[in-house]
Amino acid sequence: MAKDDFKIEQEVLPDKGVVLLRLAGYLDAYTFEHLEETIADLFAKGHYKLLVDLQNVEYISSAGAGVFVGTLSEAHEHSGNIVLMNPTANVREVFELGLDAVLPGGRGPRHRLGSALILFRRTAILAET
Amino acid sequence: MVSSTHCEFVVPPETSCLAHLRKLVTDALNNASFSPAKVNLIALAVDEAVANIMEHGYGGDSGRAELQGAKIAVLLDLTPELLIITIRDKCVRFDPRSAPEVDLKEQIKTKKRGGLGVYLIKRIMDEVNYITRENSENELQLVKYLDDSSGTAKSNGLGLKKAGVALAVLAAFLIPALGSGTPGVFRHQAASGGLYYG
Repeated sequence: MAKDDFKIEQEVLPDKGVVLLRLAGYLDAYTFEHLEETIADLFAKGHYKLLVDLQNVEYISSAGAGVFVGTLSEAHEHSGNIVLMNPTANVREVFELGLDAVLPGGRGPRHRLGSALILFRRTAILAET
Repeated sequence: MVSSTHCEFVVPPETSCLAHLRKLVTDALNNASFSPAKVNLIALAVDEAVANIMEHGYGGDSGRAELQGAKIAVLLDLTPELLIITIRDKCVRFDPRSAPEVDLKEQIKTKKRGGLGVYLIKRIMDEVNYITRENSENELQLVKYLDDSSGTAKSNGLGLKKAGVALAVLAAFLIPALGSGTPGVFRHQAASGGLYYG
């Protein structure tokens, strides 16, 4: 598999500096570093509010999910959050093994952008309190 | 479903091979009585186990000279009652059963991303066994019962049928390996002995 089988697109939303990450492809032990480096780069630039669109993620392993687990706390420490939306059936089944209890948005069936942003605001408020 | 199937794949310790391995496992289980969703999860369990061997056993550095030619063998044995996945390597011993239980909330708090692979394997598979043979070959065995109701066997005790199956699994696990696969290539061997991938 070529590493370019996993891609990330970034878009800064006009909603209090939320950054939308559109992921596509396979997120596994071979490709997770791309996501890890992207999030580290965003944190370094002061972007701690990340909305992650999983609509085109065909597969996720613990290495990929671990990136969210390992970075969520740092986002919270800076009054931010990492909210997942639109998990595909394959990805949702993995989250339902227990990860959905701790990953914001991971439990939802198919969030639209608007509802995900609402969830983002709610969890961000919770993080701030 | 076919009465019994044996497949064998051999991969080098390189994470770039994981996607290919998952596809081979998924294709091999297409005729089994598992739902497509369950097949995907079983492929995930294999991915996690093999990725752990690559990371912990081979140190995530397959480029080292002493690892040239190293290989990980994945064997699938499917019967009408259960699926046995055997994963063999000769690297540093890593028994996933000895991995500490994951506390996800604590893991988030401490910003730790690792350790989730074993967590997922234990939730997907019905049994996880591990031994190291005299020839230094490590063998990880993952078992999945085809009958979903067998999940109760883990908590409520084994019935006679399940006990028989469990003994068969134990025997298969204790019998020495019959040989490993060809290094550096994928191999898919059906019960008929036909070699149609490689």
